[in-house]
Amino acid sequence: MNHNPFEEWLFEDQLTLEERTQLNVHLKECASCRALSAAGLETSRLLSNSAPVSPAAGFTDRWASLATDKEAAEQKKQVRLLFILLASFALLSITSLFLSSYFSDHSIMAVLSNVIFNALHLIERTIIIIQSYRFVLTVLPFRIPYLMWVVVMANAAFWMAFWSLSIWKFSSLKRVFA
Amino acid sequence: MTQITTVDLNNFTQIVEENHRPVYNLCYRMLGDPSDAEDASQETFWKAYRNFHRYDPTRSLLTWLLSIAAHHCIDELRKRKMKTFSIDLFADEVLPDQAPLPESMVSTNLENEQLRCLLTKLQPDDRAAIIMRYWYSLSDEEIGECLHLSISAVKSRLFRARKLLASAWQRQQGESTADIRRQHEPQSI
Repeated sequence: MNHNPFEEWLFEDQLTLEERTQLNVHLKECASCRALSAAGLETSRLLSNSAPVSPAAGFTDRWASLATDKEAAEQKKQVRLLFILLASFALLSITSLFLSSYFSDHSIMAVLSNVIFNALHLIERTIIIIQSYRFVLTVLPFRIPYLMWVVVMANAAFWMAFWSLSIWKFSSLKRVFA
Repeated sequence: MTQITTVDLNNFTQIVEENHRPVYNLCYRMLGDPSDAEDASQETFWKAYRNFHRYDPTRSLLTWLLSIAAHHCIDELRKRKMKTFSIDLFADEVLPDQAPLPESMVSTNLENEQLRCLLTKLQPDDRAAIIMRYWYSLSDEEIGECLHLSISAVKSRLFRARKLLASAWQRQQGESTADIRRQHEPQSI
């Protein structure tokens, strides 16, 4: 006997009235499909009637203790990482100081003072640049015509909108975590 | 249900207290072992705690937790499958005591054991879908959301799982009937 499509229909959620009637007629004639239907009903009953199982008492306390341990371990790991980074940076600085001193025939103190001098010089330059920008920003707005401002601002708004849209698109692609 | 948007360990402990039973039940049904289920549910809550900023408060918190638990269990089952070969080598040592259990215990655990055996026949994803449908009465949409599947994929998984469970049940019943028949047959010397 041909059991198709009745074998499939036994496990379908939504059957039309006609399909249901055909299935019932087939079930009356076919012992094999009748047995499969009974097995399906029995497994559904078993699944529906089975009570949920609970963990041993004190689950929340055990979790809290595990979470505390894990948090402490993570903090320790972060501190260790920070220490390694700082130590590597210090080691690299000292090594480069010694190497510069060795290859440039200057004393370590001379190289060190040179580094400090350059750093101070860099900071001084940065401050000057910031002050110049501030000056330009306070003076320029009154020198540029209004129409020019409209064009510049419209351009900026367009590119900002374009940029935000692309960022949103990319981030929505990654938002797949439950 | 507690509405918490930002979370610290104390707040989250309350969430664990309110939701640990359904999460544990899902892990137990997925993995079939109380100790593994305990580990998996603890890990589920830890993952949820670490990623709480990703939780969308418009969704049900329990559904979100069940989703994390289901994915964790599916990963565990896949890892186990990969380890099967090495475990098989020591199967004789690992197998539990085969001595018969007392009759009262057997009758109490029979349905649970039958269910556990049946569920092991299913693929991890199908198993998760069936558990979510029968124990948590989640709709196709909710199951799809939990397992990151389309509604049609959920429907086809549930269909496949039901069919497989029915066939496995038939086989199981056939085997036990044959066993009983064999026991009642007169021993030929």
